Amino acid sequence: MAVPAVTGHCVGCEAHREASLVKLGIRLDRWDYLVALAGNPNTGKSTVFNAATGLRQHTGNWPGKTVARAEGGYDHLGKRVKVIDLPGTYSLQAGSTDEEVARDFILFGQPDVTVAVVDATRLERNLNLVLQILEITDRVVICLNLMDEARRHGIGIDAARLEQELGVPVIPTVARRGQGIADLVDAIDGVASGRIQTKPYRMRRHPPEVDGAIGALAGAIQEAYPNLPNSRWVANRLLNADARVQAAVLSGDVGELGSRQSDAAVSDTGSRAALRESNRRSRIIDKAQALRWKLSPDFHDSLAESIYAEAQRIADRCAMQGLERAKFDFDRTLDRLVTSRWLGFPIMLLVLTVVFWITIAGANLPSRMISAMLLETVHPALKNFASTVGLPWWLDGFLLDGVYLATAWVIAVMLPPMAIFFPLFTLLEDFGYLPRVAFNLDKLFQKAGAHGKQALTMCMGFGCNAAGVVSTRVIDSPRERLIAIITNNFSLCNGRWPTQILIASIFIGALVPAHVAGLVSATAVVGVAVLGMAMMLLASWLLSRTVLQGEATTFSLELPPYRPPRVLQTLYTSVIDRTLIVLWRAVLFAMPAGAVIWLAANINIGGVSIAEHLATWLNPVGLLIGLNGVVLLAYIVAIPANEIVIPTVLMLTTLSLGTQGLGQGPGVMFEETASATGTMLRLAGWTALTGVNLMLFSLLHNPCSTTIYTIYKETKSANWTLVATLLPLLMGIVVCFLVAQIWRLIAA
Amino acid sequence: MVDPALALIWFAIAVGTLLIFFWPGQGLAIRLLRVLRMTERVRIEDALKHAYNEEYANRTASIHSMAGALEVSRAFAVRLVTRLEARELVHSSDEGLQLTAAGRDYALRILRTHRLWERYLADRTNVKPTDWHDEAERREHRLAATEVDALAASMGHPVYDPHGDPIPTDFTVHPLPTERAVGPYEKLSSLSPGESAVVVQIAHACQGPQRRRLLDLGVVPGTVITAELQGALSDPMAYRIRSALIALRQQQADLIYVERDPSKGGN
Repeated sequence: MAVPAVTGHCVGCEAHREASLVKLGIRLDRWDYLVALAGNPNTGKSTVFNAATGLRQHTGNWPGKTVARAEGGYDHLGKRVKVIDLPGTYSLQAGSTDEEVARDFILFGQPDVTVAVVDATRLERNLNLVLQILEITDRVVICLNLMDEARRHGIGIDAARLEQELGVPVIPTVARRGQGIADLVDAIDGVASGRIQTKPYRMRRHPPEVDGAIGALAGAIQEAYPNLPNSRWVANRLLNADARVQAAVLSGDVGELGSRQSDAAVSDTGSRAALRESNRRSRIIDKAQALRWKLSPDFHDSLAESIYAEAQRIADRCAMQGLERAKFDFDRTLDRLVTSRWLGFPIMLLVLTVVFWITIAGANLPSRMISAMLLETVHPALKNFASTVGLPWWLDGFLLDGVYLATAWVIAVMLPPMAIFFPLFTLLEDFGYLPRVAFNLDKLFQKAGAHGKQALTMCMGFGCNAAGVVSTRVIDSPRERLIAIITNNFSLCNGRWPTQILIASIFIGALVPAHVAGLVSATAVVGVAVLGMAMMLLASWLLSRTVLQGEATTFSLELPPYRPPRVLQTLYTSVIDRTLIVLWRAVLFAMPAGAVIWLAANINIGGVSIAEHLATWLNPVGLLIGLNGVVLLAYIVAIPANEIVIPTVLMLTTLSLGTQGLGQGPGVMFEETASATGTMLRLAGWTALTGVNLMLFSLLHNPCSTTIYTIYKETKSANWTLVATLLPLLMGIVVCFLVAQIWRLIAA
Repeated sequence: MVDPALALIWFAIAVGTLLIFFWPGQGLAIRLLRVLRMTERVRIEDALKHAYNEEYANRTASIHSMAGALEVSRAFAVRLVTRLEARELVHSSDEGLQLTAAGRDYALRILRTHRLWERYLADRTNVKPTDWHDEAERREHRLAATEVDALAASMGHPVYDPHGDPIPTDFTVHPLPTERAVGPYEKLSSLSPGESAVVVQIAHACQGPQRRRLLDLGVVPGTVITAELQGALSDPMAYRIRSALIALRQQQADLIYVERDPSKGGN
């Protein structure tokens, strides 16, 4: 359950609203009007939001999911308007966290205007939500979006008629092209300033038994709270045992929802009056409870039925006849193709391969350039500067060879692939292909007790596990979402691909003739990634059968119509939302790691560095699972970012070999050619087994600290974070152990 | 270097030991836990439940029947009844054991908790129907009275458990509404791509968040649904519901009763 967002007295006054919104975690400037954007998922709500606010929005989808909404603002006729983008919901029954957030904001956040964004192609279903919003508040503007899509599908809507039916302004828009946004902004201003008077449609035809109960209860509520504009809605919610509304009625908060200037219905009129008042309130709750037991158990159904009946009636009246459907139904044809039994999976594999190929090929050059700049130009310059200033060698080494080099390496390796992968992925998402992938793969995930949308979070994990964990927000069922979060680490992330490729080419490629070496090592890497997917399904299955079987579950997957993606917008948001934030977190964790590596390698005890001591100490365990002490130590050091595993391994190996001149200078990172690296590793006692097991361990080990932190933020549970951290590690140790023993048995 | 064969043998032994301890349902750890959970409270509540069940079935509980139902020795049952009597929960006479008013109230509260848990497990978890009873049996002893009310409130005060038995409350209870669709109606899952049908109702077995989501999506009696698209692995199926394309799994579509109506379908 979400924590109620806004509580307290005098909700109506400006000062309070500012204060209470601070509680919501929103940074407030001054504003004249507060506008909430509500609507079904996939109605282009965010597009309307962006069109109205320009690029000045702060896409605040990162903090906890209770406040999973974006906010922005615009100026209109000298008025500053603050816009809150609420989570997309199908209703306001407060059945899920998203619905609760949206409902609470519309009801208790007291927006000056609530804009209901409506998908013109799905009018009936959207009206279901609109009618519920109109029950709560008078100040509503309908944004009839996606008018172009409706036209394409031969759907015409008489906006004037709809306005007449609903009693609030209805503005047809095509938000992607900015059409109608000026009218929308104007209507918002009109309703907010009171220039436009609304007469919202209120549900008239509830089922008879419910109607009687609502009538009886509404009377009592109206008596206690004379200013309340929506007593029938409150009565309805009380009959539905809505805990939040119950609490508001008991505390008197509900009384202040009526009008801006209303004095609190009760409060400081003496304790006896207050007592009488609170008795009256609890009598309302008691009455609701008594009435509820007289209703038939499926009255929720008949309520939903009656809302839909109204929605259908209104939609029918506003439908314009005689429009021609586009001859070629692009959506249907494409859907048949991408979900077909024979072509569905090949197309999926092709698309994913192309995305990976573009990412790896395209990231190569910028990665080199950034690393050349940061490591070969900036680093020596900084070193020079340090020696001219006369920095002591330890401070210089600690800061420049430790902290700086680790950070620079992480940026060079992480930034380009992420900056390519995430936008490509977001484009596929916006186009509408990814929901089809989830649709195709759902059966597999269903068997493992998971949600088809986990296929998407898995793919996102190939870019970065932390981003993959965040993307699980698209899964609205708590149990399946938890499974997706815990198992996301089985997606081989960007930071681990380089390790796989290097080790495969050194140890696997070397086992076969040179002309097929490239192909074989590439296949080995893909094999490891596929093994990761299998492990993900296995882990999902295990979790859903054991520790997670007691968590809540629901399934629904809407396949939105295909929409041409907007490339620039996507680039902007995916770079801001995903790439930069993930990179920032990685950098935060890489800096201390660089410091630790430098210290471990440069502080000597008994003439031997701490790193060597640790590696020697870990060696027996490492050998038992087919690795060695250096690799284990590297994985401990590399908890902040998988990218630094290879550099750390190389540095520690040189250190242990005592090869002078290689590990000394740079301290932390350096690059070598693959063959030279191979020679060195073999010199240090590495075998093909070590290589294979390193690849396996790179797939199956604990998530990096960025991901662990993200898992904790998303689950808000130390226990699940622990499970997500230790489960893959345990699997990795067991798998490596078994492979090592069996390998040695066969080899002997 | 450890001998690999030896290492594998040790590994097998370790895994075997772990399995003996932690095998779901049968493992030593579970059994130990079960013994530890057998507290005084659990025994008293089980004894009251037994007395109530006997009373409900127009029989009278006795020391003998109680020893049988609780799987304890006769001597233990005698001591248990003495303690129940001391707390004025049962009254024993020559005819057998009678619940006092307080004892009956207590027993009803346990029954309420049990059925609420069954409802919860059925609606909100992945626990198999065959395990609902046993799991509820374990959980029913753990809640205080206020927690029971909170549990009921969190589910919107359900009236029936998933087996159709009423959940006891202080209020009067309606008889369970009969399902409109039993025999002649088809399931939504029987539609092939391209076919349409009208919703008759959602089965009672589908409750809680799942039912609410279907209602929100517009699956209400009278809605025309067209099966449109079959996934590459044949399940789920995408249905056109109120002009939106919604994928439903077969197990969900099984719970929606429809009627093919040529006059309304096939639009």
